[in-house]
Amino acid sequence: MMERIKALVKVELKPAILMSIYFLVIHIGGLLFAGISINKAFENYLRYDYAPHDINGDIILSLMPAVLMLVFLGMLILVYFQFKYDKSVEIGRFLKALPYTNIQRCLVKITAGILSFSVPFIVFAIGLMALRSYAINLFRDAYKVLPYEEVIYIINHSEHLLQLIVLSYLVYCAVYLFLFMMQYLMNNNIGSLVTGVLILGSPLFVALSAFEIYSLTYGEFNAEILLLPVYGMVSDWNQLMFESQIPAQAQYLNYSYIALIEYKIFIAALASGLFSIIICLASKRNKIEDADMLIPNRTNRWIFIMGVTLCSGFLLADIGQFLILPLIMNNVFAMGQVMLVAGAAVGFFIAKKIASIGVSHKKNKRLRKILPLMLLGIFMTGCSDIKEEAKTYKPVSYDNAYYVKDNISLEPLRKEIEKFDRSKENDWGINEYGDTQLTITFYKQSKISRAIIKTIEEYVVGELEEVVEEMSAKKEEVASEERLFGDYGIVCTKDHSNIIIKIIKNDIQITDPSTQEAVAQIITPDFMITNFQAGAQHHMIKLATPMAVGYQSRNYMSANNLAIASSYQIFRDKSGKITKVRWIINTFDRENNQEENIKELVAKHLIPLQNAIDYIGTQETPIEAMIADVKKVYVNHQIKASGKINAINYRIQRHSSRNDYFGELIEVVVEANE
Amino acid sequence: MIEINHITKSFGEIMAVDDISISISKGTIYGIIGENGAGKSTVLQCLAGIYDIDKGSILIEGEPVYENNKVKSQIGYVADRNQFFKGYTVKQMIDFFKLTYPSFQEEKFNQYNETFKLNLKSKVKNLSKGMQMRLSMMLSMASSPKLLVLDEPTSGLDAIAKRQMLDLIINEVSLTGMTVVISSHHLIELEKICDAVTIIHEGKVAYQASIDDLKSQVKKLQVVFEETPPEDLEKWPEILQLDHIGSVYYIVTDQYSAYFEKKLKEYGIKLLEPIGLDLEEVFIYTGQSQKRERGRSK
Repeated sequence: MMERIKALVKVELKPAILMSIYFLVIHIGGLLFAGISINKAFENYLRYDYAPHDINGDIILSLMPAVLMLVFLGMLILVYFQFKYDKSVEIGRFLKALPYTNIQRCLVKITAGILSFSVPFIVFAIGLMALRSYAINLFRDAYKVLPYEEVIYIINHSEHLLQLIVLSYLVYCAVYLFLFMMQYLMNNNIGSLVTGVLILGSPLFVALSAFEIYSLTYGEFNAEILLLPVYGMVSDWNQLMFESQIPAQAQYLNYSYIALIEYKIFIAALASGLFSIIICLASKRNKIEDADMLIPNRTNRWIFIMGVTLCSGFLLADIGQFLILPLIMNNVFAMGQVMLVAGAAVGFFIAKKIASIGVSHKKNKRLRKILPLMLLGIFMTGCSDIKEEAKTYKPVSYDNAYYVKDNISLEPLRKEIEKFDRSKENDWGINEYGDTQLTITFYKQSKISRAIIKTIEEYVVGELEEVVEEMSAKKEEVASEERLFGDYGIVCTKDHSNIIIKIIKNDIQITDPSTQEAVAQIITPDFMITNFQAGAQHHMIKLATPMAVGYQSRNYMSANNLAIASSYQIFRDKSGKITKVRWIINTFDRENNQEENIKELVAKHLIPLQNAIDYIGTQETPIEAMIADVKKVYVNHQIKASGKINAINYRIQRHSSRNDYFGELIEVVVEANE
Repeated sequence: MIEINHITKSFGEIMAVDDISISISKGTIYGIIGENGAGKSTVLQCLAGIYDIDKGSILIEGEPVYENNKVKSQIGYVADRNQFFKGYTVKQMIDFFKLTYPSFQEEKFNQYNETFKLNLKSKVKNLSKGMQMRLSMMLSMASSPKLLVLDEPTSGLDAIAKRQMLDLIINEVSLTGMTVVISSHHLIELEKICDAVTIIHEGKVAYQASIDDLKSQVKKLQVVFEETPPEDLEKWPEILQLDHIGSVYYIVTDQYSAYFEKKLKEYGIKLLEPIGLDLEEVFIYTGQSQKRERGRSK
C-alpha cells in the first residue's frame, strides 16, 4: 500500500518542492532583512545611544505582514500547480482510473502542500528565535542602563515570539487549506483561486462601502478586523510611561503586540480544522463527471450568486456615488441607491450565468451545506472582538541619583546673535538644533562676523577668534577644527569661502561623587559628557568629541571635511566598578591621510580608553597589541579583531552598513575579564 | 466474471446510459459499439471506476469497482486520447506505473517497445497522438491487468500500428487469459478480435450477442417472389430494411431463422438466398432500424 502511494507522492512532490524553494527564499529573505535591521539598529545605537526596545515588535512583528503576503502569493501558485493535472479532463480521468481513492489523493496533496511551506517555516522560526537572542545580546548593554530594563525583557520574552510563530503558522495553514478547499468547491483551477482571494477581501470591501455610502460613523467598529486573514498579523501598540523625579524627563516605551493572540491562535486552528474536515468530505464526494460544472453544488452556487450580487451592487454604487454622479448632480444619494440596485441586478444575472456554467438543470440532490460552514470559518478567523489593551506591565519609576540635566539652553546666545544685521552686505545665517546646538554660517568675513564671534567668545569664554583665523589661513578648501571651552564644544569648519561655527552645549552635570571621580580619571580635555543613562543595576556615561556630537546630529555639517570623530560609552555597575568600555570611532574617507589620522587617533582619541583600561586594571596596562589591531581594522586589512591583555578582553569590529553620509563606525569594546 | 447490472448514468438532464446490463466472461474480448454519443465511453469509464453510476451495479469478481483500489489495481485503462502527465518522459511514466501497479513488469514493456519503438527519453507532450496511444497501451498491458478497458485504442494509429496493436491484444489474451473490453469505430477490427459485442444505441442496449450469433441473426436475403410480395412486408417486425431492384427484393432481417424463411415461402418464392453481412453492415442496418423505430414512435 505504502509502496503504491509513493507514486502519488512523487507526482505531488514536484510542485511542492519547487514552491518550497520559493517559500525558503521568502523566509530567508525575511531573516536577512531582520538581521540587517538589527545591525542597522545597532549602528544607530553606537551613534545615538538609542537601542530599539521592542525587538519582537519593531523588527520581527513588523516584518510579518510582508512575509505573509508573499507566502500567500506562493500558496496561490502552489495550489494552482497542485490541481493543474486534476482539473484537466484527460489527465483527471487517468488519475481517477488509477488504484487510488479520492481521499488518498487528497491527503497526499495536502501533506505535500503543507510540508512545502512548513519546512521553510521551521527554518524561519528557528532563525527568528536566534535573531531575537542575537539582538537581545547585542543590546544588553543598552538595556541594562535603562530604568525599565526588566520591562524590555518582558516585552521581548521568547514566549511572545513563540506565540507569534505559532499564530503565523496556523494562519499559513488556514489560508492554504482555504484555497485548497476552494478547489473542491469550484471546478475551475484559476477561477476557484480568484474567487478564494475575492472571498477573503469581500467582507472588508462591503463593510467599507456600506459605511461610506450610508455615511455611518465608524465608532467602535474597526475595519481592520475584516482584513482577512492578514488581520491575524495586524499589531496593536501600547505605551508605557516611566516617571522621573523630574516630570519633564519621564521616559516612554512604545511596543507593538498582537492583541488577543491566544484567541487568534485558537480561531486559526479552528478554521484550519474546519477547512480540513470540509476538504475531506468534499474530496470523498468529488466526482470527475461533474468537472464540466463550475460549481457542482447547488447551495454553493446560490451563495456565490448572492455574494457577487451584493459586491457588485456596492461596487457600482461606489463608482456612481463617489466618481461619476458628483460631476453631474448635487444630491447623489438617491441616484447612488438606484445604482446600487442596478449593480446588484447586473451582478445577479452575471453571477447566475457564471454559476450555471456546465449545469444542465441537474436534478435536486441532497443539499450539502458545506459553504455556509466554510464562510463561517473565514469570518471567525478575523472577527474576534479585539479592543482590550495588554496591561501586563506596571510603570517603574527611576531615580536620578547620578546626574542632573542643565536646563539652560543656547537660547540667550541665539537671541543675542540675531540682533546683528543680516543684510546682503553682512551675509551670514544661524540655525539651531534642539536646545543644545547652534550653527552660525559666515558666507563672507565682515565686521559683523567678527562681532558675532566676539559675542560667542564672551558666552563660551574661549579664544574662538583664534580658531577662526587659524581655519581661514588654512590652504585646504575644506577643513575642520574642534575645541572645548568648559561646557561648550566648538566645531569650526572651513568650507571654501564659508566659515561654519557649531556650538554644542554640554547639559549633563554629574552629581554622584564616585562617578565624578571615575569620569575625572578617564576624560581628557578633548571630550565632553554628552549622555548619561541609569538603570537599576548599571549606568552608562557617554563621552564624545564635539565633532562626534555634531556629526551624529548631521546638522549643518558635511562629511567632506572630517576624518575622525569618536565617542565612548562607559558602563559601570552599582558599586561604581567599570565593567565595560566601548570606543566608537566614526571615520570618513579613510583612504586619505591615513597616517595622519591614525596619529590623531592614538594621540587624542585613544587616551580615554587607555585611562579607562588603567582604571579597570588599577595600574598602567600596555595596549600596543590592541592599538595594532585597531590600525589593521582602520586601514581595512580586516573587519574584526579580538584579543586579551592581562585581565582585559577586547574586540574590534567595523560596521559599515551606512557607509555614506554617516561614514563608517569602528567599535572597540574593552571588558574586564571576569 | 464482469457483471454490469442495470446501470444508469446521467449528466444533468442527459441520460448517457440507461439500464444497461452486460455480462462478460473471463478471458474474452468483448466489444462495445455504438454511434458517437451512444454512451460507449461512459460505460467503459464506469467499468474502469472513473465514473460513479447512478443506479445498478458493476461487479468484477463480485466486487464493486468505484473507489475500490483492490479491484482497480487489476484494471488497465486506455483512453481515446493522451492522458498522461505532459511534462513526464516515457521513462518517468514507466516508473510511475511501476510504483502504482505492483504487477507492472518493465521487461514486458521493453518487449512491447521492441515493436513500437518509443524513445524512453521523449517527453509525453512531444509524442504524436499515435505514439501516445501506443505508450498508453504498452503501460497498461505491462501492468498485467486482469481486465483491460480500451476506449478507441486504435484511433490515431496507422494501419501497421493498428495491426500490431490488435495482434498484441490477441496474444496477451491467449497468454494471460485477461479479459478485454474494447470500443472502436473500426468494426472490421472488432469483428476479427471480439468474441461478443453489445451494440448501444442512445444509452440503451440495442443488440447483444456473440459475433457469430449476431451475424447469424442479422442477414440480408435476396428474394424473388413468384407473384407480388405481401403488401405489408415492410411492416413485418422481423424486417429491418427492404429494397428492391426490379423483381429482386433485398430484405435485411435481425431475426433470421428457419421460421422466418418458412413465413416468406408461404407467399410463393422463386428464389431465396441469404447473403452474409459483416459487423459493420450489421451495425449500419441495426442503427438505421433503431432510428426508424424512434421516428415511428414519435
